[in-house]
Amino acid sequence: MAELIEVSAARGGRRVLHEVTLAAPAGCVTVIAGPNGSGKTTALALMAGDLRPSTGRVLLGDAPIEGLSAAVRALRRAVMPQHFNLVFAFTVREVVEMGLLPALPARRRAPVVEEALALADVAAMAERPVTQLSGGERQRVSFARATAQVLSAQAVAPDAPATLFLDEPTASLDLAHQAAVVRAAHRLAADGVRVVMVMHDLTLIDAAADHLVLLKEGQVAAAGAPRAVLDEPTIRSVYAASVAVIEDADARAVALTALRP
Amino acid sequence: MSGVDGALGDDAAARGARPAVDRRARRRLLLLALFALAALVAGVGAFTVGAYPIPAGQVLGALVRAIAPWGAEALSLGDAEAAQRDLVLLEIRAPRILFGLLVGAALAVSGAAMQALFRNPLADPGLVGVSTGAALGAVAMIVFAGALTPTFGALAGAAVPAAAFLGAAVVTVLIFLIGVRGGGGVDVALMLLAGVAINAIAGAGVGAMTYLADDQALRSLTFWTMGSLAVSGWDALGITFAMIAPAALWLMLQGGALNRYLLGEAEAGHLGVDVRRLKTGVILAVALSVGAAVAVAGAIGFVGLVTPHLVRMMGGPDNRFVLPGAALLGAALTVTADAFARGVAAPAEIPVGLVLSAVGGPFFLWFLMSRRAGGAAWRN
Amino acid sequence: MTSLSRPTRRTAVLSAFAALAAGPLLSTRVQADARRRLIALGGAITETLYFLDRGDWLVGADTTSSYPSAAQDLPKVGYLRAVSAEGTLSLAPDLVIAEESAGPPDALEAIARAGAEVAYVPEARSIDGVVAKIDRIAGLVAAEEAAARLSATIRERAAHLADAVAGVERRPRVLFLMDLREGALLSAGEGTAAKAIIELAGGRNALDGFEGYKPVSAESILARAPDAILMMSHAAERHGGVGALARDPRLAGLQAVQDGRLIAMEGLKLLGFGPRTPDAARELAAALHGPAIAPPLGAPLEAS
Repeated sequence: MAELIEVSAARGGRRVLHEVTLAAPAGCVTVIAGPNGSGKTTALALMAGDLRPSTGRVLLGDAPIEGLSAAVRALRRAVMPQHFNLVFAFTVREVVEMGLLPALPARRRAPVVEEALALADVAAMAERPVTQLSGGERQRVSFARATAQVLSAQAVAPDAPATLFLDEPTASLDLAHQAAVVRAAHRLAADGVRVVMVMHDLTLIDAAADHLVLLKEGQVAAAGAPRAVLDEPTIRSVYAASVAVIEDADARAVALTALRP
Repeated sequence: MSGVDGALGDDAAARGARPAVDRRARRRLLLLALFALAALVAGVGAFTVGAYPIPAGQVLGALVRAIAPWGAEALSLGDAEAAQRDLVLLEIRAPRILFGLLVGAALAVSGAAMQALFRNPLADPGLVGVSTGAALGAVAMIVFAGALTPTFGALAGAAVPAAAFLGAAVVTVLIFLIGVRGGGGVDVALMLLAGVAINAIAGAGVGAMTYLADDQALRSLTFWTMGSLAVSGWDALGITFAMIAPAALWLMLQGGALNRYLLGEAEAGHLGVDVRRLKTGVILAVALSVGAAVAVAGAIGFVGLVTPHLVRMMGGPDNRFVLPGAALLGAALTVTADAFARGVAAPAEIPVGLVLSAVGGPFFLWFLMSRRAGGAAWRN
Repeated sequence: MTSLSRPTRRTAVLSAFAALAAGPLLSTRVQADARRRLIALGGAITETLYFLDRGDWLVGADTTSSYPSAAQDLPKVGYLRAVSAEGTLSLAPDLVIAEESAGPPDALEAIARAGAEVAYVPEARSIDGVVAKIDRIAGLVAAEEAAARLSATIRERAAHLADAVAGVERRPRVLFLMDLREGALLSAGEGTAAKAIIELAGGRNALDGFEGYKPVSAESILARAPDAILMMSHAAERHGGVGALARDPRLAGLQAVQDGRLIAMEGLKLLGFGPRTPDAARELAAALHGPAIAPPLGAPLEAS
């Protein structure tokens, strides 16, 4: 489990999380959503070990993350940041290779890179310098890099499930690549990876999440299977916006519109 | 959607890309071998250049005599010519060539490491004030400790490099403290501006020291500030080597970590890099290398800035390649420039810093212009 | 001769070879001709060698050796304080005569280790010093007789000038300007050759309280109101000559400059403290006190 247990946290003197308890099970895609300023990114940073809670405990794979060294953490979790920028003209492949862990045997490096390139759909641009890519393409490269780390962690330590933290991984992607990232997340989850994503697009969340946590003003407003959480009253109370939830004919997808006044 | 599916399932694309990896790795190994060869050729070739006329064949003889004296009996050693020739080769040219290799490697690898540390291709020990800081430390030691030169014994010989190291370290730490934001990120613009200010302050300090200096100290300063490898006997080589070799070697091994560091400090941490240790180590190693280089040769510019760019142009920006490549190429370039400086105005000589700036400045301008025009020269 | 050797084991071996080799050379030299291959480091030393008729022994010199004109054609081994060891050795000297300020020390040490004798000549700040310098150099190049004649002339001329300026009641205060760098005027204080030559010429150095050559502000010069400004002619020419300097805003306000008392003299003659020093002092005295102060004793001394 990756867990926050009664965690409170402050940023810049302002309290952003109040005694939040949430869990992300292995083999699942967990999505954290909520309005701007609800504490999503803070929750992700706490779980990844980038922030320390003021009270409460943070577990990564059943161990307090505080006690883990940088090297052990690297084996247990990868993080895809919201923004990614490089001044030097590394190729896409070189950036993805940076995600490989030093413990990965040499013969397994190339297959891991190829798999990560393919999952992020950047294999075709593998030899291009990242400095020449668009924002969306760079985001996919960043996703591939984090994926390569998680894949190599799984190859090095198959018994301890690794966690992949993604902070708005689809923010600047087109429709097809949003879907590709969601599909890749599920592929990884099926292989035992624990995926934790921060996302905004509720329609996409319905397709992406096995488990959804809705945050509001630093507290958990609702949690559970997305279909159970995403009803009109809950959304109205969390986002203060009127929506219509529309299921398609065979009830496989949900569309939400926020057009109602 | 179909494109995504194609990429997911298409193993052919992956198979097609693999040879590119091998090609790149081979190319980089080949380049490193070429740089090493260039340093070797430059180092050996420099033995044949100088005001004192020594035929190339005699150079070999002299080196054999020095390394294997028992072989010397076969050669006629009775005349003054041979003894003096050996002395020129072994006491004047040899230490100087070794100094050139060391100083060139130190400055170039430091430049490459700083460009990674500051995430800026224009970072350079000279640009951000590290060299000036080292100069201030060295000058202060020369002035206050009464013109200690490397010929005044081992302890005094270490005093000036040690002071230069301190000056370089203080400046690097200061610039880092100023440039690092609350969140741990690096504000490059602020850091470069701090470099400008520190350059000015340390420059003023050097000026003030010159004012305070007595005539004896001034004599050392005048010569030292010219940026030359001429002050180089065997005595100072030990301390210079002891400072530069471990620092430069350690830096060369940080390529993988510095690559990850370029993604961002948080990202490097996520990838298992001990960022604090990396930064501290790079700052100390750069200060050691630059301090030792400046202490022995004064202000030599260009090598630290342009060598890493040259290396990147030829083999890409991977620091596992750039750091050792810059060290080797920097050594070769500096020794070549110094041989030119010794040979062109014989029997007098011109400061090597002048040669490097005269050749390197225009080259760098061309490089910047071609980058502006196409963007391709950055990487090739 | 100052001993420079601090030999390592290897250099000890090499020096031994050099000594062995030098032995026979030494004896032949004494038999046939005392001629030695000389390199002079310091303009005044070069000049003195030409005065002692040893100019043709010189095989090289440093870049401060600008007099006489023949010296300008000698191969140059670098600036006095940045001498190239290998460049010097490439000229195969057996004697290097150096001013005490010559350097860098490492280079001179290497030259000495290579078997060339390195002899240092002390700096002079007086006529006695000039004579001692000439004697020292003469001893090295077997020119004692020529030195005696030269020293006698120098002493005679110096005494003549000393008598003349002794009667002067008002000693003009002279400001020496080494150079006018950006913003700073480099002037002379205690212990400088400039102060010494000004005093020989019956003047007083306008600035005191500091050693050597230091930058001073234009304001402090105005406050001192010197009676004359003294410069080296090549420094004056670098700034467009005496006429242009007189219009320099930092100097134009000075009474001395408005009265046309900005004096430029050849640097080596003025500050070198060599054989031409009595003539230089007389020339300066004439500029300070009027030409009648000390009529020249014969033609100025010139080397050829």
